Amino acid sequence: MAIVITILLPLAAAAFLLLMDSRAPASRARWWALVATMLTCAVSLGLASQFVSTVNSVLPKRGIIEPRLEVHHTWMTVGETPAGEPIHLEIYLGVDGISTAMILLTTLLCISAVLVSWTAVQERAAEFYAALLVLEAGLIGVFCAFDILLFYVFFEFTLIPLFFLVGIWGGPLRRYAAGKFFIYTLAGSLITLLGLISMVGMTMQAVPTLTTPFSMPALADALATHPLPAEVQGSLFLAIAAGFLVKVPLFPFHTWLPLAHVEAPTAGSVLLAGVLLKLGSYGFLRLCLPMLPAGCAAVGMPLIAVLSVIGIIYGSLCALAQNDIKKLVAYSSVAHLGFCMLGMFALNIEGITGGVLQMINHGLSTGALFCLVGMFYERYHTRMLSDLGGLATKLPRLGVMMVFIAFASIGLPGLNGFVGEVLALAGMFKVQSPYLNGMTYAALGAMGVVLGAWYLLGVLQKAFFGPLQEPVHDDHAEPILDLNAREMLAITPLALMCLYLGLFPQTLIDLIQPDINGVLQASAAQAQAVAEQVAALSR
Amino acid sequence: MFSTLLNQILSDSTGQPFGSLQLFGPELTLSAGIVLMLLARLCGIDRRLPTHWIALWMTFIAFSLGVFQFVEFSRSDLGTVEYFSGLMVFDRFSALFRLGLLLFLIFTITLTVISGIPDRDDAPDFYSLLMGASVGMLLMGGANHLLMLFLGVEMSSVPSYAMVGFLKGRKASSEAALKFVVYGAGAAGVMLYGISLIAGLLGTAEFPQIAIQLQTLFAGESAALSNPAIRLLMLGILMLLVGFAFKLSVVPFHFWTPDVFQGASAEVGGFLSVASKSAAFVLLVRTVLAFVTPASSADLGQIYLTLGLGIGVIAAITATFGNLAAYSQTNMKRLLAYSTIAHSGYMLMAIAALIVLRAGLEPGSTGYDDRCARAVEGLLYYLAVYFFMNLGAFAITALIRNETFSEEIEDYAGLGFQAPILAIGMGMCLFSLVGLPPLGGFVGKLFIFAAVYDSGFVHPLMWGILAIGGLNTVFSLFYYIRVMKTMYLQERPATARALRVPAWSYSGAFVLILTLPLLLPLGTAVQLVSGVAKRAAMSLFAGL
Amino acid sequence: MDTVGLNSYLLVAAMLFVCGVVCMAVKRNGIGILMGVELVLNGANLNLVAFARYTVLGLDGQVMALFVIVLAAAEAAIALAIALNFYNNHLTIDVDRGSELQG
Repeated sequence: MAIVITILLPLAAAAFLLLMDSRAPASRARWWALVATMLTCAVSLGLASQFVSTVNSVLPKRGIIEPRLEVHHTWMTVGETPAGEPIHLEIYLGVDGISTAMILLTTLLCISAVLVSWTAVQERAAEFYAALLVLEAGLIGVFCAFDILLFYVFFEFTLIPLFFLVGIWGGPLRRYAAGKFFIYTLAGSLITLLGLISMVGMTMQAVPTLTTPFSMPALADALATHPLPAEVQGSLFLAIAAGFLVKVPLFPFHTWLPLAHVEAPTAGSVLLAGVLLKLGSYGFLRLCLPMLPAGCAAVGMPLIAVLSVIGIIYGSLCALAQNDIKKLVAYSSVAHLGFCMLGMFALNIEGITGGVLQMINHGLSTGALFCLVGMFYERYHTRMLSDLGGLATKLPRLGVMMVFIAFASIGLPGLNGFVGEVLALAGMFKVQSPYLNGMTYAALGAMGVVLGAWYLLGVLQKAFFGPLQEPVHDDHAEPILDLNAREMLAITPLALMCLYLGLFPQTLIDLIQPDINGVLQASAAQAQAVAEQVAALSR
Repeated sequence: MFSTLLNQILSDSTGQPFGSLQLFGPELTLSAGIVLMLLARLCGIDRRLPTHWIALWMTFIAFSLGVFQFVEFSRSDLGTVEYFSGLMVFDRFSALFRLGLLLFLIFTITLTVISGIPDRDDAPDFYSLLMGASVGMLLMGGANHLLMLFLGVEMSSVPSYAMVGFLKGRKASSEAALKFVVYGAGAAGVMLYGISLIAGLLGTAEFPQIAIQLQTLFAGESAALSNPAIRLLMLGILMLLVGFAFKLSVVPFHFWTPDVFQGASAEVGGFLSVASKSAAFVLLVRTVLAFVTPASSADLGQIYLTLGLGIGVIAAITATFGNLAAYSQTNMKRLLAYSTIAHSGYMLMAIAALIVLRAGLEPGSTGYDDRCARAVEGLLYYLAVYFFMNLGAFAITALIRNETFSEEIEDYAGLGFQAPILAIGMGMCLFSLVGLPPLGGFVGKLFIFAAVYDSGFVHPLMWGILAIGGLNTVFSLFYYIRVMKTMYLQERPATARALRVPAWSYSGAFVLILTLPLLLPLGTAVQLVSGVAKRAAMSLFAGL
Repeated sequence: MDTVGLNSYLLVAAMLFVCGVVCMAVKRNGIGILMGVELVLNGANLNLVAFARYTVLGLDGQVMALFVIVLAAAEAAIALAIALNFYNNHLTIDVDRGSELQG
């Protein structure tokens, strides 16, 4: 039940905000939104504790994908299986370790998103917060969905509120940015849908008794015993990857991202970088790795490794060249997600764990970075590095936070970024595959770490240290003040989480480990099934 | 024929559960409504009692009768009942269609009352035409004879011509009506000529007989296609299809649609776009099932397959054309006209799948019968969704026109915040037309594409058509999004007239009632509707 | 040329049909096009009646022809009204002059 409440609570709050008298002051809307996001966060914490207690005490580990605390409800019956049974599409919600972590990240970031929009959004505040809450519901829905079609429904659904967030409350180029973002991601994900449906169709041909082929656990189990031929897996992988590659985004598909980030309002950027990009890597983790291991190994690993490494280096170099801090952070996202994907497609336990950790870490640190950039912009109405200098003396709290988060993002040992990047690179380092030499890629990736330190330290040095240089701001007379309590409240939880996960990463690793084992178990099972088939043929 | 007809009518009225006149009740009620409205004006009653009340009440009575019949019929174990000596047929399929159409008529009349399109003087004429066209569509839904097919098509078309030209003073309106009547009459003529050839060569015009005659015709001939009679028959079938293609605005017989929809008022556009198209699709399903049965000769099977694939290709072209042409439109009604063409293409894919699946049937086997039924079910579901989303889009266009006096898309700038209820409603309808989840359009497309996928096992070309259908969803996104962008992302110019359409007004409530089903019963609680659609579709195949 | 058979009727009907179609395609005058439509409808009617006389179609064909005649009259009435309305607005019934609606 907690799952349903976590999804419906923000939706209900959004409906309430929309129905509120539109002449009501913005302050009322934001208080309601804050209460709603905090309540949602509380419920998700309850959900997580319920999940942890279930996993640890009641039900030990299990199949390839196995959600707990499930909710089943038949959504529709379409067509029939080759065996003549009707096919059930389900409203199938649940959580496993990875989705619990992602849900916690989402609900936490949403609180910060509301807090950073507190004074920045004055016009149409009720609609703004409603869109934000709808987005939150959609994101939680993606992580809870264990039916492929339902997953896709939520996956697409998140586009709509974000489209409005960027398009209405964004910067000067918002219309163009919103349109580009929407069409890029939707076009990609339609190919994904086609790929998913073909995958399900082919599985049904192979396993005629499967009556819920769209349910992820059932499909993964069926494929583990009846794997699709390797070349089919390769082409299916390419189709399914199309949408996720755009979403992540990996190198040649990333062009919508800097634009959308720069134009989006701060809250939009926070959620876009913090959670929405993870939908892509989460999709790979849920729908590619367990279902199509052979395809991932033969096609995915070389392709994604190359694209990730290019993305890491290219993104870092682009970030180095930026003058606009927000754009710089956007390009750094391209680089960081490169690490995430590089680790995930090492296809071993270290790599995937590192990839998932990187998903969470990047969400926290980049979310926080965007918050800080937003606070910056609110004060100076500029984000240009060339206009700023030596602000640490004038705004000590902002400076401290910026330094801390930047270090977390660089991957300083003791902070969260470190663990994820090291594990991801270690995973890649170990890869001995006929298709690629893991060591080279790990080494190239490690270069990205250096570049990352370079551009982020560059920002710190330029904007916060050295002689004080403030942009001319004659348009508003009020003095520039340091972070107030609200802004501290927005940023501190994120910073604390960065520290905590840096010091005690094992908590998170324990949470996600069983699910990653499940993913690896799938590839082992499929390899064994193939070997048995070959043996049977040779006999 | 006449004497049996007379006898049947007389004997029917003496206590059988489903007599001809009883089954014809809703149509008779509508016809009585027309007479009543015209009489009311003659006696000057319409000065005291607004005509739309008569129209609404009579339609409501017809609808209640329809519900009653539907329930009664569902309880009985009768599969199909032929009435009027086999001219018409009554089964769950036609009963369901009748309910849908009458409900649609209620919605349309309500919309015209809210938007006030016929003024007081013209109201009796307008509602007579509207209800007359609806009677024609009901005939199309139950046709079991080539004569009824033609009568239904004409009875629904002829009042439509007049409705399109109803805004008498407007140049655009009269031009649209003239184009519509000229092309429509031409297509009807060609269709009738085709019907005359088919009826003559097969020696029968009754649907259940047609397939039997076809099979015997082909069983007797060894080199079937060289036989002039068969060639002539094929020509007749093609001409019949031309008539349908015109009605459904399928490429290359679509050219009238944008002009007519732009010239007519949005209310009439909505009626034509939904009711007329659904009636034509329902009739097409009946016709296809009459002509296409599991083929006993290889020649005939080949012809069926070619026919199905041909229709599939045309459907793909139609969808693509509609979506590409809509891209450059600046007028909302014209854009919706092209979107109507595109959606005809999608729905025609279901028909193609149905034909291909039936062509793949071995004679006597029922292996694909369930799949055929599912193609029809998908079509019915899509029509149900289409009812709400397309009427919604046209209705909101009309309501916006009433406020801003414009149907140009650029004049929609900033409506998102001035009239949120209209803009949100339009958004739901347009996103549903794209087929975005979780709205009804997504589920509808899913059903249709599933049927097309099934038919790919008979012939792989259908998979290509499926891929084009999927691609079209992307194409369509661009122009629907443009409308949304204009409404939400552009500021309303300061000179533009401010408008207030609160959610708690008649217009607001109407929009809510139209769009909520897209989200709830059609989008998420799918089982509710699809079960009914499934039973209706199955009833078509019960006789086999 | 001893008897007039089914084929002769069909031939005449086909000629009517072709004349009608050509008329519809070539004429630009609205009334002219409608006359073409009438020719097509009558061609079809002739077919129906001939089939009724010579084949197993029987009385059905005659009845269909009767209905078609009624319908053609109704259609012509509506079409002429619309043409008149067009004339009132445009002062011509040349269908190509209607150019409000394009795009």
